[in-house]
Amino acid sequence: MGLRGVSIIGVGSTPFGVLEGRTLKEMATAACNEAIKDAGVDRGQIQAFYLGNYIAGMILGQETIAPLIVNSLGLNREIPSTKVEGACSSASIALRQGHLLVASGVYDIVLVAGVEKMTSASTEKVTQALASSIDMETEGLTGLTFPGYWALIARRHMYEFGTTIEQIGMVSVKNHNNAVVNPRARFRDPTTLDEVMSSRLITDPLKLFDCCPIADGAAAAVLCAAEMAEDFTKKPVDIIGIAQTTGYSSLYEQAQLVALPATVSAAKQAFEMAKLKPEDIDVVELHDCFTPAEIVDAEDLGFFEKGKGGWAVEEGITQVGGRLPVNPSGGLISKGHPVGATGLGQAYEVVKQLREEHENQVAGAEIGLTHNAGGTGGVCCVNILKRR
Amino acid sequence: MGGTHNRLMAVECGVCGKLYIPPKYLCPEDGANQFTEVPLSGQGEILTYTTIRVPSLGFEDQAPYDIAVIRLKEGINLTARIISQEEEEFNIGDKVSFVKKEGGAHWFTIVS
Repeated sequence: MGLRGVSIIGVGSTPFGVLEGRTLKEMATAACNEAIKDAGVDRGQIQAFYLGNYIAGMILGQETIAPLIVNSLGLNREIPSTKVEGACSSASIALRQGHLLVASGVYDIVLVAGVEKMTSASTEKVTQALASSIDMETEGLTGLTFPGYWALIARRHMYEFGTTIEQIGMVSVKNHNNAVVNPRARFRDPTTLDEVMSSRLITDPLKLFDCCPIADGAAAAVLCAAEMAEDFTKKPVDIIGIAQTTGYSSLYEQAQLVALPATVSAAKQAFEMAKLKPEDIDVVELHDCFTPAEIVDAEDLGFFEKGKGGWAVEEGITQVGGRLPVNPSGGLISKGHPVGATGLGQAYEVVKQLREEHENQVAGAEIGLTHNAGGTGGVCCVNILKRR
Repeated sequence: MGGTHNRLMAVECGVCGKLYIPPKYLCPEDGANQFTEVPLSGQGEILTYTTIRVPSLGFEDQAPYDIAVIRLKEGINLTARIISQEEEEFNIGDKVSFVKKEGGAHWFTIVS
């Protein structure tokens, strides 16, 4: 099957955080409008719209939101508009659907976005909505939570490889410190290992500072056939590897408890498509919903041998200025996690890095990777992006 | 799902013999749907565990509570609840024994 190259020619994002008074529709409209302006396309040139969202139906009672945003933006009503859902991977799925439509030649220009409004609902309502991606016929009946899921993996990782709780805590310190200069981040105060280690226990051994905060936010990108990209922008970013895979809907069914199989398979497919190896990547935004996830994900993506991820953090390899900067945006831990928007929020950060426009710039970054996992690792998306 | 049983039950695929707890609608290995209910030993060991201090909705009155992934003697894994005395210490590798099925969850106790 002959597929065309696809480029990101424009990106837009709201800040992630407690955006009081900003509605789901308004945030998505703002992020999309910014992406359209950044791309330099006319709204009438957009031929399809894909929108990622996870819990608006459950917590806001608002569904059918893709046409809602098309109408808000004043796009052509003859185009298809579709919402996609894959828990915290929803926006990356929207990106991939847009990519497939352009790569296949069906359309030349597609708008993709992700949005979530979380902070206006009660904690109980948000917690229940988020938990809906745990299998409610099996593991959900035990009372397992998402931090609990990562605590189980963390403890096994510590047991098998000697990973220390301090190494896990250092992920939080690094990501908090990265977010200080990122105006889109929810938490912008630096922190220390002492503060992380003495924060409240949530689910042993994870503490409050090991958990990402919920957030409101939206992010968007305009995709275009690679051959046309330079008609619109001098700085196109090419999507050279893109994959979406399926993992397990429960932890106990995984053969091993120290990896997400969907991340391993998505990384393999994306690297094969890009004809690259992990050592070719200059900057990474990965799914650090909880601190141990950053260590496990970095291993599963092939950046470090299984079991060595904790030492990579301790040695500073994943700092900006290190050999492989991970989450220079602050990651989910500090930037915040508006679940249905996160994947395109990561793409926004990496595109800005590759265009050398980022507030926490990784010097000379040419190739970047985003990794976005959903549910109990039931969904995983990996994208490899390259500047021209 | 709500009843209490004191034997740990699994289903066995009539084609490949693989065991499942909880039951499957189809065997993911071969697509067959001929299952027989079989009793297991109820003995296993802890692969990993955590104490949930911020509970899921509907579990508020139980917090803090312990959850573990258990490797059963028969070679399959199960996410289950551990019945422990307050702040009882236990570790990966500790032996556990099945107590009951309640609220759709399996409950084990530490074998000292």
